[in-house]
Order: sequence, then structure tokens, then C-alpha cells
Amino acid sequence: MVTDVVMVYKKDSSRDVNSEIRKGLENNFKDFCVCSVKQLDSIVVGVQNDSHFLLEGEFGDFIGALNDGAEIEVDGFCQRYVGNNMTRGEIVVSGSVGDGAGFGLRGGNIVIKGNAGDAVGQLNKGGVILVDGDIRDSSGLFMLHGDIIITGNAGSETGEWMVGGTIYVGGDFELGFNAKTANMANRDITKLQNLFSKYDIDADPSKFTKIVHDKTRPFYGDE
Amino acid sequence: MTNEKRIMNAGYIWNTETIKQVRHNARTGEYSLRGFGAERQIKTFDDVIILPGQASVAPVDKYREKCDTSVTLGTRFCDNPLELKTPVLIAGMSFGALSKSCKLAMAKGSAMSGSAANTGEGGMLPDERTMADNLVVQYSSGRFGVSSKYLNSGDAIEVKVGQGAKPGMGGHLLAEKVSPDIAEIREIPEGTDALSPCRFLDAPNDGDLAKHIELIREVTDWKIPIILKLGPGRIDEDVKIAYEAGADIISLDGMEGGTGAAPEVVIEQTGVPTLPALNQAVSTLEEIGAKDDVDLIITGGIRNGGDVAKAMAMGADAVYVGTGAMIAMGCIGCRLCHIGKCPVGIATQIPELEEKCNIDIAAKQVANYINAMTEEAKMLAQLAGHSDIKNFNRSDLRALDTETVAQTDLKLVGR
Ligand SMILES: Cc1cc2nc3c(=O)[nH]c(=O)nc-3n(C[C@H](O)[C@H](O)[C@H](O)COP(=O)(O)O)c2cc1C
Repeated sequence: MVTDVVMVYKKDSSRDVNSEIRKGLENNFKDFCVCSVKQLDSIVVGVQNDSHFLLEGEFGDFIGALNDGAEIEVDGFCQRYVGNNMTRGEIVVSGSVGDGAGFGLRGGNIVIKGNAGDAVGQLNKGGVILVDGDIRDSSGLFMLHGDIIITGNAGSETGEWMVGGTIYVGGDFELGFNAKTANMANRDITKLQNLFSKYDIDADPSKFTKIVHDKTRPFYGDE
Repeated sequence: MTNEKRIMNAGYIWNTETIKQVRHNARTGEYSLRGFGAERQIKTFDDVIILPGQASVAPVDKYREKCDTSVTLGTRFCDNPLELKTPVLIAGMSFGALSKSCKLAMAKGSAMSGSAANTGEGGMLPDERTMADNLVVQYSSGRFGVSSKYLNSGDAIEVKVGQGAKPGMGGHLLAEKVSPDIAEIREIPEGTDALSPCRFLDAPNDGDLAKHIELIREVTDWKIPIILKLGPGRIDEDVKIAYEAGADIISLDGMEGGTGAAPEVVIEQTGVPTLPALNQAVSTLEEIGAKDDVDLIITGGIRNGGDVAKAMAMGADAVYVGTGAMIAMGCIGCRLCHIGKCPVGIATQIPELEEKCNIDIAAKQVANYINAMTEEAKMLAQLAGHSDIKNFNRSDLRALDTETVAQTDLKLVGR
């Protein structure tokens, strides 16, 4: 049983950071700490096991993208597309993130403790994105499945062209095309309660508005 | 068809096809869809000929002397480029548009001919991976079935920006067609509309394609080549961006490029034909000094070894075949792929129809087709005096008419 933490710090390129991590994973290390790596993109991407990563500082785009099982804790900020196309695992960011958090998510949980930008959970295919703060526009565009939960306010075009899945908003928002509000069922409340207690979030699920897709079916040419 | 009114006096402007189109629109209120690529009259490789070696250039003997047909693709940045016995690769066609039997036959046939198969954008069938020796996996706007495991199981990854039949358009597999099998492979819930947006929604800014390529490199540890697939638009600018984004290989699909379904008006009225598209891509790469660095796969309407030879002489490093491979398997060309009731079991998900596509027979036919095409191209290379198919060059070609000269910058025959 290896308990040591692999320290990855002061690297100039994503490739250097990731190859240190890869070496650690190959040697069966399970705990990693990444810090002082400037605002690099594509760090800790595509990890295929349940190891644990602590990232400290400010990071670039695509942090934790294509994650497939790892637990990634970011003590700091990320720019765009955190958790892009993740299939499994968990990402928790203590600060705010840029646009496109959880884009194309397939599974797992992404939790943002600060605010997020535009395009949260676009093309979500079955994961959970929870933002304990405000977000901007066009969240859930083309979403197929999964959940997006916003405790604060969302911007315009919320749920635009949704095809499936659910968005829950605690504050104000503007509905997008083909999205409609629905009643919160007990199931919804329990789901949110469980998530809020798991991630230590102080919010009242009964005050949330549920958004689902409306009737229009997309059609612009069969594949 | 039975109630089809007859057409008196079809002319040039109001020809039979146009009249049928208007009737379709009038009857349904919708645009029409079909399979296959553009079929209008455009300049093709048939308007170019190969000059044989005679007294000035000695031909290479077909029986006694060797001619290498192997290609290595993607040496620019990655550790393990594609090593193939033939420059003819099978194009990306999705499971969903095609049946499972057809997809597996493509994979098996590619292995039997030393070629490569391509998943298309509908995810990867596990048996497809086992059967193909070389498998290209696609990363498209809808990211169906894309995961770290998926990317790491490919021998190359194709980032699909667009395709020739419907450049600038996304795709959409109707919810009704998203069967349990397809849902599993695409990793989406059963019975959900499977949407591929018309562009990468997560690449809104200049330089973002490069970021996607970097992401894929990091996930796959810089091991395998990354192909960037473009439809034929502003080829000059687009090819430069693909190069700057860091692709190892650029694949460019001309407007003849086939499809499982696209609107008729899009197929016929958009894009650049393969021949001038290839010419433009090559001259752009030469202009920026990137021709030797990056490999170019041309696709769209490639039918036989003649097309392969001419494409390579014009500067392509390899070709993809889509429609040709389907025809080799038994496609009868009804162009009704979008209906999903393919009478020969290729473009369908209906089990009784799919049975008509026998994997072993279809695989053998695809392999035969690729082998024969490769042999044709090799024979042409030899008679033009080359002992390596890669030595074909523009001086081996002439254009048959002035319009082709204008589109290809080749010399005119007789000059
Ligand atoms: C049935 C069918 C399905 C296709 N599916 C895809 C796809 O999933 N992704 C893609 O990039 N291109 C797709 N294409 C386009 C091919 O990859 C390729 O560009 C085209 O078929 C080449 O032209 P050709 O058919 O004239 O050889 C498809 C084509 C066909 C015929």
C-alpha cells in the first residue's frame, strides 16, 4: 500500500505536468498534489482510475477533461471547460470557473463553489453539474441527459434547445427556446438535498425551479 | 411512384429532376434528404490523365520489378504514425448510419488489406476494435462514445470539423433510431435524439482547435497521430488553421463526399469539388512550407486506382473511400440510406435486413476492392516510371481541357 503524495510543481508545460502524473500512476501512487504550474491547460486529463488529485492555484482550460474516475479537488480557479467530456469521477472547484463548465459531460459530478460563466453543461449527456453561485447564459444548450443545478442566478437562454435532462435554478433566469418549467417532485427535492449535504452547500431545494425540455423535436437532417 | 404524374417536355432548366424536387416540396412542405454525395457535373479525376513513361522515362516492369505501395502517415508530432500497406483507407462512417454487420465487415476488410478502418462519429463497437488492425476513432462535435478509453484505443484520432456532403451542418440521428445497441455505443440514453452540432460549441475562439488537439495529445500521451478532417470551404484559410492547430494529418473531403443522409440542396449546392479542393490544399501547404511536415488525406468520390494514382500525383499522401467501400459490399445505389431500410443490410438497423450483409463475405469484398485499387494504382505508378507509388508527382499528369487546367494548375494535354 503506497500512501505517499506525488508532488508536481513548477512545471512549464502541460506535457511535463501530465508526464509526472503518468509516471506516478504507473507506479501505483494514488495521491497527487499539483501546484505552482502557472495557468496551464489540459492538466490531469483522461485519468482512468480513482486516484485523488489536489490542484492548488490558478489553472487554464480543460482541467480534468475526459476524467474517467479520478477525484479532482481544485483549491483555486479554473478557466474554461473544466471537466469537459468527463465520463466518471468527481471534480470540485473551490473558486470560480470560466465558460463551458462540464461541457459534453457523460457521467460523474462537477461541483463549482464559486461562479461559472456561459455555457454550463452544454451537451450534457448524463452527468451532474452543481454550481453554488451564479452563472451566465446558454446553460444546458443541446443537453441530452443528466442534471445541472445552480443555487444562484442563471442568465438568458437557460435550457435552450434541451432534448433531455433537468436544470434546477435557485435564483432568477430566462428560459431558452424549447425549455419549460415544471413542478418540483419529491424525487427532485431528495436528489438536491442529498447533493447539497454531500457537498456542504447551504440551500433550500424547495425554493428551486425545475426546467425540462418542451415539445419541439430537433430536425435538421438525419445523419 | 405509382401516383407520380407524368412530365411533359422536360427541358434544361425545368428538367425531370427539378420537377420531381418541386413536387416533393409541394407534397411534403419539407426539403428532401438522400444518401450519397454530389452528382452534378463537375471536374473530376476523369478529366486528368497520367503520362506513361516511354523513351524519356523508362517504365518499371510490373512482373519483375517492385513498386512500394506502403504509406506512413502522421510523422509530424506523434510517436507511432500509421503504417499501412496501401494508401487507400476506409472513411469514417458511423454505427447508426451503417449496420453493425457492415461496420464489422469494414473493420475486418481493412485488416485483410493492410488498410485502416474508421469509427465515424457514432462511437466504437468493441468488435470493430478487435477486427481492425488499424482503427481511426473520431472526435466530433457531438463527442458520441468519446472517453479516455475510447481515445486511447485508437491507432489515430480524427477530429471531425466537417465533411464534404454537408459542410457546415451537424448531424442528427432521430430518437426513433437510437436503439439500445446504438445508445450503448454512443453513450447516450436510449431513444434520445442524437445531435451533433454544426460546429464545436466548445471551441468558440481562434486557437481553440489547437487546445482540443493539445487535450487529445495529453490524454493519449503524444503516441498516436491526430487527423483533422475538414469539409471543403475556404480551403486556403482552413488548411492553415488545421496546420497551426498542430494536426499530424489533414483530411479534406470534397463535395462529392458521400453521406448516410443530407439535404439534397446542401449536397449539390455547397462545397468545393474534390479535384480543385486537393489542388488548393496542396498549394497552401506548399506556400507555408508545411507539405513535408503534415500528411494530407483526400476524400470524396474516390472510386478506383486511377483516382488514387492521380490524387497522389497531385500531392495527396493517401485517400479515404466511403461510398466505394459500400458499393464493394453490395450497395445497390438506391440513395435511400436515410430511410434506414437498406435492402442489402448496409445502412439499416433492422435485424431482418441486416442479415443480408454477411460479415465474412462483405469483408472479403471490401478487402478485394482495396487490394485491386492498390494494384491498379501501383500498375499506373510503374508504367509512369516509379518504383514507389509515393514518387508520383504533378509532372506525371495532364489536364484534358482548359477548365481543368484552371482548377488544377496542371499542364494541358498536347502542350
Ligand atoms: C453512410 C455514411 C456515413 C458517414 N458517416 C460519417 C461520420 O460519421 N463522420 C464523418 O466524418 N463522415 C462520415 N461520412 C463521410 C465519409 O467519412 C467520407 O467523408 C465520404 O464518404 C467520402 O466520400 P466517398 O463516399 O465519395 O468516398 C459518412 C459517409 C457515408 C456514406
